[in-house]
Amino acid sequence: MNPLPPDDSGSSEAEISDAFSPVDRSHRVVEDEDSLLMRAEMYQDYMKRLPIPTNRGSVIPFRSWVGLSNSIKELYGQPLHYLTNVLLQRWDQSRIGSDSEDQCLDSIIHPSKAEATIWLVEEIHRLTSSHHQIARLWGSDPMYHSFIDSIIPEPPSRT
Amino acid sequence: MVSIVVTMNPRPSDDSGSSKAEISVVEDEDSLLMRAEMYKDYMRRLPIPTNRGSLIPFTSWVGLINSIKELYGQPLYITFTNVLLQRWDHSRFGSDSEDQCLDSIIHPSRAEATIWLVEEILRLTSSHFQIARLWGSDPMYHSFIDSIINPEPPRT
Repeated sequence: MNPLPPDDSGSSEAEISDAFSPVDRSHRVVEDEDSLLMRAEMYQDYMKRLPIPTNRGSVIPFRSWVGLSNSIKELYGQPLHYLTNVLLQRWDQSRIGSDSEDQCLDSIIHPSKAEATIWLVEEIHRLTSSHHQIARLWGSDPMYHSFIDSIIPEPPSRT
Repeated sequence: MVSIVVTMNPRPSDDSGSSKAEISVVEDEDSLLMRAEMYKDYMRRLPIPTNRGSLIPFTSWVGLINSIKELYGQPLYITFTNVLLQRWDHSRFGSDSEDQCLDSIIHPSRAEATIWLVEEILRLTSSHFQIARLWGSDPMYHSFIDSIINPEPPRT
């Protein structure tokens, strides 16, 4: 695996190359639709089979949704879905300018509720997303790979 | 219940036959921001229902949220929760399980729990700036939110 130059701000997750992200990011490669669709299908098939963890005892303090998701990924050793990562960043952004912006997020939303929400949302994304829609979203998001967690893929049987 | 009526941009009374696009006047930013703040304050105070016994069958997220709104008589956080649920319904198109009933994939109690958790998060943590920005880019919201915050003003 080739470590990638960390040119994405705030995305320490996608620095390790995985089967789903372009390795060479020194220039923007325009990906063709078929390739994108195929990778989205592989991705969705993989994510769909990942079981949602059931033994969740810890209470994880957090200051942001993205921060909580990083703790969760570490704790359970699982990636979260592209759609979940995008959503959580959106939730963090939607706090900007709110009265409670400076309050610790886990004093507003209890950590166990927050984690439960993430897993419920994750389950929906894993079980119901279509790879067509994912490919479409990736195609319109030049930074999509920064929302894809590194995955240890099966060695590809094709190049 | 909010009883203040914001009438910086007085609207024509409900003309049957006018499209929503005609009624939604382009609002200046301050007015939009003020209404977004009122809306957010209103939604923040709405308690999340606690006695949730029924299992609501559903075939789409938007369908479920409509049933929930009816059952509990609450306007769900139209701006963000609705957008998310529409996105979820849309993201099913073309999936293997597209023809399966959604409630056979996601149990109705989990689905409803998810909606309320998301709703609570958005009610408690969203900023009115974000709301105003979202509304500003979609005139359809104005008439919708209007009906929640401003009941029909008395005719003068």
